[in-house]
Order: sequence, then structure tokens, then C-alpha cells
Amino acid sequence: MIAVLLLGLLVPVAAVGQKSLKVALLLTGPIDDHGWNASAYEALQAIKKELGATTAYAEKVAPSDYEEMLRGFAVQGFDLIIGHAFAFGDPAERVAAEFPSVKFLITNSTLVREPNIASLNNDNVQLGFLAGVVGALVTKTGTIGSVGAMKVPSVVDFHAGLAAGARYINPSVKVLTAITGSFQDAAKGKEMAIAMIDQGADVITHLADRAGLGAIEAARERKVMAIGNVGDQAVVAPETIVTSATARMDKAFVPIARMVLEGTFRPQCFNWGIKEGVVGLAPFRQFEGKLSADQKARIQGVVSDLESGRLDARAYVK
Amino acid sequence: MTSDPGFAQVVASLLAVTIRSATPMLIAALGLVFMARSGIVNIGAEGMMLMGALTGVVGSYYSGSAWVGALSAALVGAVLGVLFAYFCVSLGANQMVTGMALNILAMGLTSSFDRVLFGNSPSLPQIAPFKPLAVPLLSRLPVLGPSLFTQMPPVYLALLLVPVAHLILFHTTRGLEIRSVGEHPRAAAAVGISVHKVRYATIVAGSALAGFAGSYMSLGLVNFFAENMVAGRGFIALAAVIFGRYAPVGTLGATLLFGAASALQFRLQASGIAVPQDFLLMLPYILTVAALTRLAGRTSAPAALGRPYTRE
Repeated sequence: MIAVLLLGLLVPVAAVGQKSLKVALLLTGPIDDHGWNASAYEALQAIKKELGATTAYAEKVAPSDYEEMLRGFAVQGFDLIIGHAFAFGDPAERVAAEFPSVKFLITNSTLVREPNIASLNNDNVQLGFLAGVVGALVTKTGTIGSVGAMKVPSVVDFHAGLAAGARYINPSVKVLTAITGSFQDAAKGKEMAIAMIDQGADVITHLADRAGLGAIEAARERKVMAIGNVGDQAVVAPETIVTSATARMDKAFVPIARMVLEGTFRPQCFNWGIKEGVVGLAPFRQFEGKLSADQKARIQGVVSDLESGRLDARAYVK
Repeated sequence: MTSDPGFAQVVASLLAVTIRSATPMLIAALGLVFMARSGIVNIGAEGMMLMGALTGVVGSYYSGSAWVGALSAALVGAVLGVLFAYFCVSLGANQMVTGMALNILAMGLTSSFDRVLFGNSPSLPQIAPFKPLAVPLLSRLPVLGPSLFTQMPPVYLALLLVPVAHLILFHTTRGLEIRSVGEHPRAAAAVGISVHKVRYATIVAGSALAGFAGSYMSLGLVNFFAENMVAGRGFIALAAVIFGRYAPVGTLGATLLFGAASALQFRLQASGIAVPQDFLLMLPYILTVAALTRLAGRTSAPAALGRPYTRE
């Protein structure tokens, strides 16, 4: 709590000469969580680089501080404030009413309020669907497992998409899912994955940030495959990770920030996924040679079908 | 019981997970037993474990040896212990407040140092983790042997520490001194025991154990440091001490119970059983609470527990 307050004071009160875009990002976790928050932090760096914006961020913001942190950035004259979790929605509504000229973007949300709140509804069903398709194609035992952090909308959607994707490829593939109750308890994430491997899973994926790293480690130690999540996680265990289902926040944040810069920002819900590049698959890296041409073609086929809209991942969710 | 080898295999793996999961709590709890017996409640064990977890990774990263990592973690734990003892013993500060402060300090220090030392990168630092060690003969036992007797060295060390701690506490003069300081410090002082010295000793030794416990998490359970990775195990260790009636053997039982409940819920969740996952997640905690309530009113807390001692 204290750390958060101090951080608030330390946020640079940027002194900019000419008119440039000022973007602030609020995160519920650390920027180096190997997942959700890391992706947003990278996107903020992209905004800085591509749009020449002045940026600031606050990480590990506690729920009790959401509103004051949002207000703090608004007072400092930021043009766009991004709350990177659906829980920023309620406090943003209160703050946005006080600062009609400041634009707000809430992620993992569908909130829209005139005149200044928009939301990014990044497609976690598609994210899970891609992992499910890859998992069902590479599994030899016919069982894939996924470790989620908590029953929050993103994890629930991801797991629903995972089962749907696996079913789309092969209805007989078994999908095991579990939750750790924590994004940080890596030891628990690992034991959870081991329990799944013991029950026959030979592909492990996760949506649990740091706890998910434990799941990947379990896969590496037990010599089964894994599918990374949010970022391209091949670097963590190159010989284990087939690919990663990626959630690229830069593909959303940069265009939305550009709208603010150009004055075309309107309150709306951005339902973005594979088509916009927000959801995708990382390169196969070491698995480039281990996957058959047929497997790669089928994966590519699903990606382009989802991209063109020929295939609707949600239609396969039970 | 059935004679189905599949079933035996499941039991063996459950037992292995139980012991593995219980170990960090057991090591920390044994340190807490010594502190409690001398009249000290240290809720800062969580923070000490967290510091140990990071120090273990740092030590292993720079030396290439898990043991150097574990030793540095114990050392950092001991240093934190000196700090805790200075406030709580020398200055007579409130032990709860000091412990809590230590936890907050550890949270901040570990995340800052982790980022300064290893940066914010998608990869993980390459460290030398503990390697599983097969116990000769026992690990060859059919079914149970391979999973139960092929554990990381700290696991065996923790189990060996239980009888050692029991002997020290209940069968040596030092142990008698520790217990008398915890029961009646003034009487202990009257017979020439230095209350402050004894408490400093138990705090420093116990904190070193907490640091070591943390390093087992980052070098044994997983092979990296993650922010807040101890995730409440320091507090569970404290509960295990109370549940174990402030004795090493009882504490072993308490941590094993918690470990077993965890192992069971991993297994149940992964099997896709039709019970809400949130309920399964609660299982270890519910069991702990249930066990504690059964013991209510029958605990044997040292009389001077949590009270600072001032010389007259």
C-alpha cells in the first residue's frame, strides 16, 4: 500500500514543451509478471516509441487505490489513461465524469460511457481456442491440461475457448483445467500441472502469469509439451514450448492512442482479437521442425479462418 | 485398500507431493517452535522466507551451487532475525507490529532487488537448483520407493531436524533454558539465565531456518524467484506451530496434514471432479481451521508468549 502511494508521488510530472500525447497506464500487478501486465507495459513502450508520447505507469495498484490513482493521473493532465483490468471500470466512471476532456480505456471490459470511456474487450475465447487447437493437434495421449489463476472472466473465457478449440480439432481430446487461486504461487502452479501430467496430460498451458511459469517448469521437467501464454514464452523453455497463444496489447494500445492523438477517439467497445493482431500465435521456434507440414497447415488454416470470420470460436463453446 | 497397482501409484504420488509441499512450512515452523518456546511470536516468517527465496536464487546464480544459495538465504534470514530481535528483545517493541513491518519490508525489497539484479525480461536467470537425491535401498522399494524416497536434499534435512529439535528442546539444558524463558522469564533470570541472550539466539537461529525454507521454494519446488511466491506459507507455518502444540513432532504432523490437503486438492482439481474449484482450493485452509477448533482451549502456549521482557 505504502509502495503504491510512494509510486504515485514518483510518477514523473512530465514537463513537455510542445503539445504531445500523454498516456498513463495503471496495472494491478508487476510489469515483470511474464504475462498480462508485462504485455501492457511493452505496449506502453510501443506508444512512447511510435507516437512520441510521454508515458507514465503505476504497477501493483491496490483496489482501494484505483480511484485515487486514476484521479491523480487525470489531474496531472494525461490525455489517455488506461486501466488494465476490468475492475478499473467502476472507479473510472466516477473519475471520468470529473474530467470530461481526459480519455479512459478499460481493458478486459465492455464498458462504454459518453463522452470519454472506451473499453478493450480482447478476445480471450479466441486466445484459448488457438491453444486448444494446437494442443489437440500435438497431443499423443489425447489429454491436455491448463492451469488458470482465478475464476476471473479472462481465465473462464480462456478455458472455455481451450475446450472449444480442442473439440474443434478432435472431440475425443480430454481437457483438464484447474485454478491455483493466485497469479504468483509458482509452486502451486507447478504441482497443479504435475497432477495433470500424472493423469495423462502431455500438453500443458496456462493463464496464470508467474504461477503459470511453474506449470511450464513442470512440463519441462516431465518432458511433455507446453503452450505459452500472453507473451512468446519460448525463451523460458525452448525445448518444451510448442508455441504461445499471444495477447498483444501493443496491437490495441497503439491504434487507440493514435485515435486520441488525432481526435478520432470515441466511446466504444473495441472487440478485438485475431483480426486486429491482438490475439495470435507466436512462431514455432524449436518446434518448427518437429511439427509435421500437415499440423502446421491445419493450425494456419484455423488462424486464417478465425481472421476472416469464416470460423467463429464462440460457436464451439459449450 | 485395493491391490490395484494404479491405486498404490496414486497413493505414492500423493504422499510424495504431501512431503514436498509440507517441507518449506516444516522448516520455517521448526524455527518458529524455538522462538515461541522462548516467548517470541514471529509473524515476520513470511517475509523472511520471501527474502530467503530471492537470496537463494541470487546465491545460486552467482556461485553455481544450490547449497551456496541456501546458505546465503539462511544468512540473510539470520540478519533479519538480528533486526527483529533488536526491535522486539532489546527495545521491547510489539512483536506483531515488528513482524508485520518485516513482511512489508521483504515484499518491497525482494521485488526491487529482483528487478535490479535480473531486470525485466521474458526469460529467467539460469540457476543451479537442488537435484533429487535417491535414498539408497529405500528408493528401490516397489511402488512407494521411487516417488517417496527420491526427494530434494532439504526434504530429508527437514525430516532429520524434527528429532534433533525435539532432543534439543526437551532433553538438553539449553532446551530447558529456552522453555523457562518462555514460561517465566523473571524466574529464569533469577537463576542466572540471560533472557535476552536466549531470545536473541532462538530468533537468529529460527530466522535462519525461515530463510533456508524460502530458498527451498525457489531452488527446490520451482527453479526461479517470483514476486510474493511464498504466498502465505509463513503464516501457515505459524498456524502449524500452534496446531502442533509448540512441539517439533506435533508441528511435523500439522504441516503434513496441510501438505496432504494441498496434494489432495491438486489431484481432485486435475481430475475434473464435479466440485467447484474454489471449494477445493479452500480445502487445506478449511482442514487447518477445523483442526485448530478441535484443539481450542487445549493449547499449551508458553506463558510469556509475545510479551517483551524488561530487566528490573
